Amino acid sequence: MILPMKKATIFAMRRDRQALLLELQRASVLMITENDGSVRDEKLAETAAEVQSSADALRFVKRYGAKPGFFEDLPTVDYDEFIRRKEESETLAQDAARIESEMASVEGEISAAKSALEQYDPWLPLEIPLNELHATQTCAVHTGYIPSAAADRLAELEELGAYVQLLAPAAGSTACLIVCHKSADGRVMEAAKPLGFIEAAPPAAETTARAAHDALNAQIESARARLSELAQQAAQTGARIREIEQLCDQLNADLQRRSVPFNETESTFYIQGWVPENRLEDLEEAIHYATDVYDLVVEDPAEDEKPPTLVKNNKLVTPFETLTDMFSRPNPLENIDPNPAMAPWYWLIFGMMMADVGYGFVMLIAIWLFIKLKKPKGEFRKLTTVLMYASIPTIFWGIMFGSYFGAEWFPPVLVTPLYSPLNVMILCLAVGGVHICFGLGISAYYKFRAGGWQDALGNQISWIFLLAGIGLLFVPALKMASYVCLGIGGLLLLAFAKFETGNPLVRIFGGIAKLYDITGFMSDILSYSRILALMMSSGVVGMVMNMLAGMVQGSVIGWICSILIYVVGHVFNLAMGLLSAYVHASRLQYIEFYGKFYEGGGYAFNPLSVQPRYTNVLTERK
Amino acid sequence: MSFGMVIAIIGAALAVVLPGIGSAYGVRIGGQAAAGVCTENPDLFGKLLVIEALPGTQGIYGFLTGVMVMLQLGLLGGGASEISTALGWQYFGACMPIALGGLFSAIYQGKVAVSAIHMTAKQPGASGKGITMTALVETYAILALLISILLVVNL
Repeated sequence: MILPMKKATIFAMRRDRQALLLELQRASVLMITENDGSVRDEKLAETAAEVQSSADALRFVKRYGAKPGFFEDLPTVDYDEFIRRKEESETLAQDAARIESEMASVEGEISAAKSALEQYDPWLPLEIPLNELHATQTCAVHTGYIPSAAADRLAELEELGAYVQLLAPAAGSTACLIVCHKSADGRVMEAAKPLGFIEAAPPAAETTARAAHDALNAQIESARARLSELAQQAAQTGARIREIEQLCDQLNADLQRRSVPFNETESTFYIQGWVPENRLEDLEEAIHYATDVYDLVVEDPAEDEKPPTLVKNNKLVTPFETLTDMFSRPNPLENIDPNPAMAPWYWLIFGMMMADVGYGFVMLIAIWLFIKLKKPKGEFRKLTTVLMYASIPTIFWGIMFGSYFGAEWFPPVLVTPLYSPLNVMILCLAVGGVHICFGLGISAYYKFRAGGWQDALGNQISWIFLLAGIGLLFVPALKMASYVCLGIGGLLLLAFAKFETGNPLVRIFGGIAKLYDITGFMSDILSYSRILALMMSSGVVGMVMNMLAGMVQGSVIGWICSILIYVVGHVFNLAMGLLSAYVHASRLQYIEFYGKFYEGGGYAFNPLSVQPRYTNVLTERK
Repeated sequence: MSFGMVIAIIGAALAVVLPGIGSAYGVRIGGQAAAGVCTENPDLFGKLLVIEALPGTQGIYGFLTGVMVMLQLGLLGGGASEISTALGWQYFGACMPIALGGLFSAIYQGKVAVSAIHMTAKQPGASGKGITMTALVETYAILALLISILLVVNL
């Protein structure tokens, strides 16, 4: 059922705005909408920046923090406690940010020092401070690189009267020092060129290369020590990761409140939004807690206005809502909630696709445990609950088709799909036919209710009779009934399918043309053959896994391998089977079933509320 | 081994290999797209994995058909009977729907999966729509599989 919505406008004093928003957030009843000339809180940008920096701090601390256990419960806090700003958490987040930036700068320092270190390497053997290495009154001094291959030819330079010292190698060449009398300088350089000598100055330093090198090393050492110290500090903040997580949630809630659009005068303001009719009292109560000076105006939505969608169904149907929401939310203007009609069909068809007693029990137990221990939230919780419910028909159809972990432990109640696929296919198509007729029936119901009974008779009821007639053709004993159905269906189609045109001739020919729709219905029904295909694919893969596991038995190691193959194989098959069944059972609802009566196009009811990721917030008032 | 048996085995091999190639290709391009999206938004991993896995089913369908042919020929568990050349060709023909249908549908499904993954990257809430769009391509692999199975079982 789609809950009716009301449009609420709250007028109050400006000074009460924060208190009112806090109460509304706690009550989670009002989806506030934008108006002409509405503004946002002046601190919105500031809060957004805080949210960003707390998220950054959390991301950093996560690398150092203790990982919470997979099944660990989220901490629970009361709303009043939740919204109280905690300075220690804020300092903690700032600390984390400071540690992160300091670590980055220390790391930069280390890598700069490392590359500087490499520059000194070739000059280490020089025993003279590097800044003193220059020409004297009588001597020319050259430093540079010579290809390592030419190093042994340096003797040629010495013959010319130069002093040559080979220093350390660097990437294919060797650093060298050439000293000669200024008078011989020209000759020596002339001779050095063909050897491949390239002049290059050593890096500037006031000490020897060795001393500069050692100083850099010491610098790196101390930077490393600083880094590990910082890592330790980070680990300390990491131990308090819960506080930062809670800060993130808190700031997010703050951001939600500050993003609320409102209109204001000098001393008053108003906000407008959607509230479900059945929660009007809660809204009034929430406002009362904040202030006594207010005015609340409740209106019905305007004719052309589309309120947000909130559906309410019983406990069994509720999880299936997530499937419809993925397709398209119910539209309050159309006012059809397809969930109660869709849920049993999805459930049944999913079970037919899986159809294995063993897999059914594994699903039931594993998903039940998962929900109990991990406590998934929101849409994911709904989805897992759907899968848990679907384990029941999986077990049922498994018994019908005699499939137990892909083996036939007990003979099937009906038939084995592998050996009589045609019979099972007919069953699948029959299920499809009934499913489609059910959809047509719903469409006819709504058309009758809206007063379009001719349309319903011509385009829905007629096809239900025609499809039933076609189905009965295959049952020899019911030949007569089949002809009657086909006759009624055909007549309804001819008479009413094109009812809107007054001309009877056009109506009949229009009706005949409408018969062409049979192709659409046939392809819809054939689409249900996928149930058989999926049933067989998981059945046969399971059978092969059993066979493989059986082949290697015989010794102790063989048995271990066998169990391994059995478990891994069936887990894989179960996972793939679940994926296929989930996807294809959805598709049959979306296209074959919803195509007959449902359009959707609504949008979600998202009230101002706390949406914590890392904490459970108790919003009930004690 | 009779010539008929050779032909039937070639058919079974093609039924496994061709959809396998298609699925490997489809999952590959889906995986590449998903890995790219995960660098930006690791939280989407679960949703993307579902979409990426969709083009993988054709490989399973092909494998399934291969096993069915082996069962029919008695190649599993010994006692393989000799079959005529004509029957061999019949098995070969029965394997073709899933061999070719699986090959091409997996490739095209992979391409839709890539688009669906990109859509999910921009709008994580729309992943259900992406899954449905991707799954529509698979219909034709399923139809091919059904015909292959019905043919093989009735030979």
